[in-house]
Amino acid sequence: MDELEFRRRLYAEPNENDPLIEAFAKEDADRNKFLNDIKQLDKDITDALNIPVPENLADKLILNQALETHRVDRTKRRVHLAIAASVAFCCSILINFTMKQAPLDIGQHALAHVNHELNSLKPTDRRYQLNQINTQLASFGGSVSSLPGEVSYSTFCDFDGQRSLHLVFQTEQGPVTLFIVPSTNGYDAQSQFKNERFNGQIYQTQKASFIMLGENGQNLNEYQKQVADNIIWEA
Amino acid sequence: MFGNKKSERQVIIDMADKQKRYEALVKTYHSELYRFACWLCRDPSVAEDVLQETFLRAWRSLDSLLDQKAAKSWLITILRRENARRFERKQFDYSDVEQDTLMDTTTDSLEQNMEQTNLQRQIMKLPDEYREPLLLQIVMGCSGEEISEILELNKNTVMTRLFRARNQLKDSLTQKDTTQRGVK
Repeated sequence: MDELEFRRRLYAEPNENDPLIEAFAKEDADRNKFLNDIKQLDKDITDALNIPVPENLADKLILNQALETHRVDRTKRRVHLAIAASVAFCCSILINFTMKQAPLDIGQHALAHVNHELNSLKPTDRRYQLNQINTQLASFGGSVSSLPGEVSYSTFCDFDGQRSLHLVFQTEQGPVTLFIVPSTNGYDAQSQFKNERFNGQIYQTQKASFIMLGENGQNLNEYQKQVADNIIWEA
Repeated sequence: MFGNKKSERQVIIDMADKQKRYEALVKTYHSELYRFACWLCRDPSVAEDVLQETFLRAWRSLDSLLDQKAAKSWLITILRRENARRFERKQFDYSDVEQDTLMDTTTDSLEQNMEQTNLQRQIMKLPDEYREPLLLQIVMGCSGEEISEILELNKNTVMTRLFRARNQLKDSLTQKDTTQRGVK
């Protein structure tokens, strides 16, 4: 122990109370005074730092935590509600979506459409030429080289939210309705539907869906094939 | 069903236990930590906010505190981090205000809020790097090892800083004495 270490250690930790330091201090009056001075200084610093603490601080801290816990609980509950709501929302969207896509629904839509426009089936003198049909088909980017019968009705219709071409042929078996709906709609490739008067089938190609309806007893396969084989789409 | 009820009871017991531990921490350390925060932030009202944040954070991560002996150092570390975050926030909030003005308001409010003795003023004047180890030692009662752990410094460095802190305080006090005597 030397003078320097004695001072350094006292300055750094005056209350260490190391017996070595005490003994070293007792050897010399100056050192002893220094020891007492520095201890007094430390007492003064301690007093100076010892500022009053607000009385209810501990209660405030505990209250704040209780409020926080309450708040977290409520947020959690709200999160659960939000999740439930989102799930319900997604479900409804999904159901809506699949219902729209269901082939049965398309068939029903086609049946309803024809039932609504029964007049379109009535034999008239009106005849459309192939080039007139092709002019209309051109807006979908397609053209047809021949059709399975004379066309007595041709117009653009809204088909389940999509612009489509609504045609009626007069065949030996009677009038046959055909909807040409452009682009892929994800309908089932080939599915059938019917009601008490009409039956129909959906024929899906890469470019368009063909939905054909005839009165019960009519054989549509032949016409369906003929249309599909004779139609050409722009690349 | 029965098992579920049992675990629910266990959860309630655990929560009550956590609450107890938290309240014990608050009661044991809030005074010392408040004083430490006051001297660290130089403003009692800011210190109280920092302390609130510190204890909230402690509550949120109370499960990570396994050793009760480490509680004091753990709380001090959280408090120091909260204090540092305050400056990040402040800089962000007041980015277009001159920093000098900010500093001035802090000292002003401190003078308003604290009746300062000469020694307190001298402590306030100490550079942060000297004041903080001194606060940890005297206010928080930390040992040299604990201080070096909290401040992430070598123990010798801590000792040197403690030495310089007291040395400066002593010098400034004796200087003041001599000037006062000189005036007489």
